Amino acid sequence: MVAVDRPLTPPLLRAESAPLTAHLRKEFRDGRALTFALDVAVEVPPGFTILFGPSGAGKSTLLDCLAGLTSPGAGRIAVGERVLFDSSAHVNLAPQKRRVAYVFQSLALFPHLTVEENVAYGLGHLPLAERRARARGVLDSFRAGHVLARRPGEISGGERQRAALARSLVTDPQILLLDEPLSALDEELRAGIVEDLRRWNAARQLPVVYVTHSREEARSLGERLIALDAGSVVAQGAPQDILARISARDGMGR
Amino acid sequence: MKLVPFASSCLPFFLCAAALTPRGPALSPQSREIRVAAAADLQFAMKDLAAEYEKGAGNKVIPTFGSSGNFFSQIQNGAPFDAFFSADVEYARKLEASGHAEPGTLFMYAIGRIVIWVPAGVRVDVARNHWDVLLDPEVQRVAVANPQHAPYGRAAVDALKGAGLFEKLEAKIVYGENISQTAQFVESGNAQAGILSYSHALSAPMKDKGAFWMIPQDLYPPIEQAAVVLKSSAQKDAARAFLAFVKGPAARAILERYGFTVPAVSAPPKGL
Amino acid sequence: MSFESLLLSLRLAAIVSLLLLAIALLLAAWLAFGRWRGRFLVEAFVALPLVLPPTVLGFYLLVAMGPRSPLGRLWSGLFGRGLAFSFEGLVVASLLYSLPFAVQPLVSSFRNVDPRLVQASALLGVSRSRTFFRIVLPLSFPGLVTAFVLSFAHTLGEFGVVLMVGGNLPGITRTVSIAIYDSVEAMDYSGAGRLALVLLLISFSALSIVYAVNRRVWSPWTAR
Repeated sequence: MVAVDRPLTPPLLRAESAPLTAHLRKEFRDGRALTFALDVAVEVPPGFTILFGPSGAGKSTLLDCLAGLTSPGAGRIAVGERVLFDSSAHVNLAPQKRRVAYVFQSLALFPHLTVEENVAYGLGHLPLAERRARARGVLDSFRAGHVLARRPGEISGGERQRAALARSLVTDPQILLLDEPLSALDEELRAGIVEDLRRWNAARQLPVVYVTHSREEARSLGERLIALDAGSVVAQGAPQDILARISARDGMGR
Repeated sequence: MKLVPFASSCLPFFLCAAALTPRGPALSPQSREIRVAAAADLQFAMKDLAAEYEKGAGNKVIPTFGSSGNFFSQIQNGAPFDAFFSADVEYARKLEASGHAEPGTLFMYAIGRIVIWVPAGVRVDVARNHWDVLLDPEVQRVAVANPQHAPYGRAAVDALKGAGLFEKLEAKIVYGENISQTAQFVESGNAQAGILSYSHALSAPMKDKGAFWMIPQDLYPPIEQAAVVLKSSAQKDAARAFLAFVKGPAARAILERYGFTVPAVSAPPKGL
Repeated sequence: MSFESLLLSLRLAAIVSLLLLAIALLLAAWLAFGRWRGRFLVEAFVALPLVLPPTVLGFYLLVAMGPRSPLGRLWSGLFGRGLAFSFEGLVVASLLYSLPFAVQPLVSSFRNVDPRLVQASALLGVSRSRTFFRIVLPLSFPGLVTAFVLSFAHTLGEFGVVLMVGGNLPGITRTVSIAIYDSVEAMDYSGAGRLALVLLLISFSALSIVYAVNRRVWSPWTAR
């Protein structure tokens, strides 16, 4: 088995994994008409929570709000005691400050930098040697250490996924958001990455929001599931129950 | 990395900029540059005058040609010339009145004439038929300098009106920025005839290329051309010296060669 | 003597394009990423030289730089000579009329950078300005080259504004385009032809070199 990334343990690792709580409302208007409203109250405890729903349900919008890339009209978002957004208290932390790791569906790896530079990108405050050591460490724990010196355009899809994950995680975030991260990969690759992710999070117990279309993934990965449809939460709880309930009725997922 | 190709493609331009260190006029006592704003009709005469002058003195004369009216505005807006050779004494007088000209330096250096000039290829006989050639269907366009700021243009329009032809010909007239551009219009054949300065007709590029007829002086007010030294000049002495040369016999001979009538110099103005 | 105007033009174009690159970079960054809702007004103002006739620009520049203007008086107070009819005056005029040629390709390039890349940088804790220099700029390299080349070429070729504001002073403001015009007026066609040909060759080779270099560099990064 691959060794867990030793350089990343103390002093960074804190046992402060805290749940994410969020209730928010975001409206989209065309002129005066309301075209879409995201109105949710969710709780994401440490561990894997699946965010499940058809396209257009508002999943990406929700993630963008959690990350600070867009602002809800009203609501409150907090990780444990730490408030990231509070409309009544006029708190709205910039994405830079939120310690939210967010892997987009497109991965958004910086094409002009090597994998190592990509992964070390968020560690600019550290001296060079340490940056590189940490980058290597995380990449190794995701079994992508061998592509350090290559550019994103030169490596395979699976390797890119791992690099994107490594980049987001090396900065010691408090929550992890994954927007359909593995949909383009085949079964085997997917399983491998999921396994690495599980192992990585076993020690840290971060709240992870994992967006997927796939019932398979939802069942195998999720400890909890939030079903989202047309901007509202239709169910929160154990994946098996919810998935069974909504199978034939709405035709969601495959 | 990616900066290298960018820098290397900029290199030629950097070299250009670096190689061209700021260069002002050579201000050694031996050789000064006298910047002269010269009316366009002096296009060829001024070059000969400058060449002759530079043989003697150490200074260089750097002329810029254009219409007198344009120079008048530019000088009032601070254009850094040392002397102004206007084709219309009025501009020079106005500059004296407004304080832009050095007092006592104004003098009339020439009186100009206008001619009708027709290039060789056009089948009319201007020497014989005078004004009528302009009415000939062969002549589709008649070039005239812009009367708004070119004295030779004003004289041309006055002469046309005096001959009762202005309305008839208005549709055919094309206006040149100054008398040089007007001459170029006709010389190139873009206009089949034009009312040009006598000095242009006698100049090297034109004298064997066409025929002309001198328009009678009584049809237009005389073109009195005057020069001044400008108050803003940084080398008034050098400018004055050049103007003094223009009053002298060598310069007079050159001007007369170009068809100018040089008025007799009465008393030398003060300050020289 | 005939190459004096050419050197003058090259010097003007080089200085203006370098200055513009710095100015246009900041302006374009603000236009592409800023949050003020009135930015479109600034974009329209920047684009004015594209649609205004050179005489309109020349007129306003003369008014703004002339000896009676505040700017003109400040300048002559500081330097002892006027801003209009000087090389520096030409630089100022050129900065304005070539501005859209530098700003527009840059804005376009910046806007074309995948917004998710900018967001990823922010999420990794990097400030907006550092993101601009580490992510947006390197990925906008073609835009930078285009901006530089276009402003260089445009400054090299400008005529109307230069004539009005510069005054055609040999060695100071007589650029090559004006020298060619002068030569034609003096019926020195061979002189005009020589200068015109040299200008044509310089412009063409400058553009060719830059675009050839660009082709190799474009592919890996702009493909998304």
